Amino acid sequence: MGRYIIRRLLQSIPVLLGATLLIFAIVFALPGDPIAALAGEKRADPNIVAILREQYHLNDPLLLQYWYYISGVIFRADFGVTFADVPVSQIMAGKFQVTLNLAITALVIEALIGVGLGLWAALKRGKAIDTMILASTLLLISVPTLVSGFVLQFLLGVRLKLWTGLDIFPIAGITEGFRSYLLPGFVLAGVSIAYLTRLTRTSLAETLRADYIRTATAKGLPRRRVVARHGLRNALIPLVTFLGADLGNLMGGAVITERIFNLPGIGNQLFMSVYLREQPVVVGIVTILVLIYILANLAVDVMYAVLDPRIRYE
Amino acid sequence: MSDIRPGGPVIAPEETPVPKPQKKEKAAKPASLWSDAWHDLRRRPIFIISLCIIAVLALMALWPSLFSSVDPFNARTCELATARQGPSTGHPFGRDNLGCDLYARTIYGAANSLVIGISTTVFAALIGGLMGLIAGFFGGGVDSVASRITEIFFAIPSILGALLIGSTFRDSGWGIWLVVAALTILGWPMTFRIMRAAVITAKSQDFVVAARALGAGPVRIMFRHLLPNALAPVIVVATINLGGFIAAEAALSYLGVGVQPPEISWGLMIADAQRRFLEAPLPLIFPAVFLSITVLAFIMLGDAVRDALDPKLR
Repeated sequence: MGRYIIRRLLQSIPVLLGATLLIFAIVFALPGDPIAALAGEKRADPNIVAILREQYHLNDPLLLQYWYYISGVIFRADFGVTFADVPVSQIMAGKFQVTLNLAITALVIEALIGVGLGLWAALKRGKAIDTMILASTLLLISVPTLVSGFVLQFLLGVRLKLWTGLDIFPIAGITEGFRSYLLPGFVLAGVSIAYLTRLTRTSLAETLRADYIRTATAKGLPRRRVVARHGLRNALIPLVTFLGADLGNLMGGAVITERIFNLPGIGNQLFMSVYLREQPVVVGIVTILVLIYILANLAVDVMYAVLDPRIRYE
Repeated sequence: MSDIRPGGPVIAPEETPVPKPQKKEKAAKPASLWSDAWHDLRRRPIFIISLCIIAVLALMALWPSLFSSVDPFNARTCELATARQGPSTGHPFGRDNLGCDLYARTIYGAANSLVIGISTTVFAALIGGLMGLIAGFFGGGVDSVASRITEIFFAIPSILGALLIGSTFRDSGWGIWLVVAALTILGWPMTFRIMRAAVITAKSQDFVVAARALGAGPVRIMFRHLLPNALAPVIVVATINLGGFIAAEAALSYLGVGVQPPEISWGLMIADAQRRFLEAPLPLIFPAVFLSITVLAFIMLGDAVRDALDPKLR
């Protein structure tokens, strides 16, 4: 197993380098001169501009600039400084915490609702409730985050408070601690809830048709025990891996949710940095997201082997 | 999947029980996967409903003046004094933040959503499909290189990647085609994976070996024998993705890097309306509902097509 993990990590190096180079090249081509932007309305002193351009390696070709950047990240864990001389790592630290909180809240909500609904649908397969759950997954997939975000913010954040006086869901910001993440977490999880429900239903329905389930039933075990111990445990394998892989997707896809609920996470930061042309911040955020994606997928593959003893990696 | 043959008829096994006399002629008629699927699709209410919705949307996109006598591109139809007015005669949806007719704008917004969604799907399917076909057929080094490249694109969070591409080339003057390009660049790897897997499965089957033994060249094998067999899963994935691309367009327009004013897009309308959402929710609700229904229609279509083309999943 150890050798497998090391091999996978080595294999992911070209992916990491390729993805960061791609992002670096796109950001490199961002229109406008960041140094000129730094000076604002006034024309900057050409000598100072020359010094700054030299200091930030702006006169070097793309690949050399990339090398300066990526070698700093790899060898010194140094994500550089912005053109306003603030370390990028300092800008990113707090923001990643917010997005991680959001993604984990979404993941928990997703696991609870998705597995719950899927289990219910699989046990009542073909009945009216099964059809209803399937139809609601269709709705969940179809309503874009953009829509569900605003609508839920309006109904649960604003109207609920007006109608019932209950202040459960703050509509913006993270000042309310855990509660601040509930509504955005649900909105972010939306589409994933639907996929997980469908996956649970298919996976469990398939497992319940297996021979060992018939054996367990024939032994006279109560239905509840057959489903929980023999069915669900085996059906769980694809679900856990789905959830693991989804963490990276949720963090990378949080920008719309963060904009709607005004959460100071990395999506929001990236959005602003793109407009402020803070190139090092943009590249830094995407680099870490790519890293999270790679590690999450590796963790999923390892989890597969742990959960299913039939799978062996050499 | 032994019942799928390249483009040709499925020959009934000789042992089949003698068909009932009145059905004799029908049984002799060749039934391919596609005609089977079509036969199956015509009986599905979900397929019919989604096709009807898409037909109405297509009519809206092609001929918007059929639905609305107000021309939303004519600034004279807007009256700032009537901004955010509720529904009234002649203005069934009311007016937006600038006093423009909401109904006309919502109708005219369909065109960009459909054009972007459909073109992105077609381009992503063509590029991903062709690369997948080549990688799957030739295998070895070609396959390794192509697969590594797709991993790079998979690792970049798509909405953030599209945000970067959109903001970098915002001044390129490509208009909506920039959105199509950005979404295609980040969307093609999905088709690639599906196509590659399907081609690899089909490649080792007897009829391909037979074709090769008969002296068929690589191009003929790829396009005459492998492509028709690998097409079904690609079409399924493409239809399901179409709804996702439409939602992504709205998200990008909301972030300011998609469709640019004075063009009309539901995402832009949502971005405009959200500033005054709490006092005037209707300008946000109407484009949001149209957007959701459009995405729903394509997701339902994709679900129906998948069930028809891949009976195993049922």
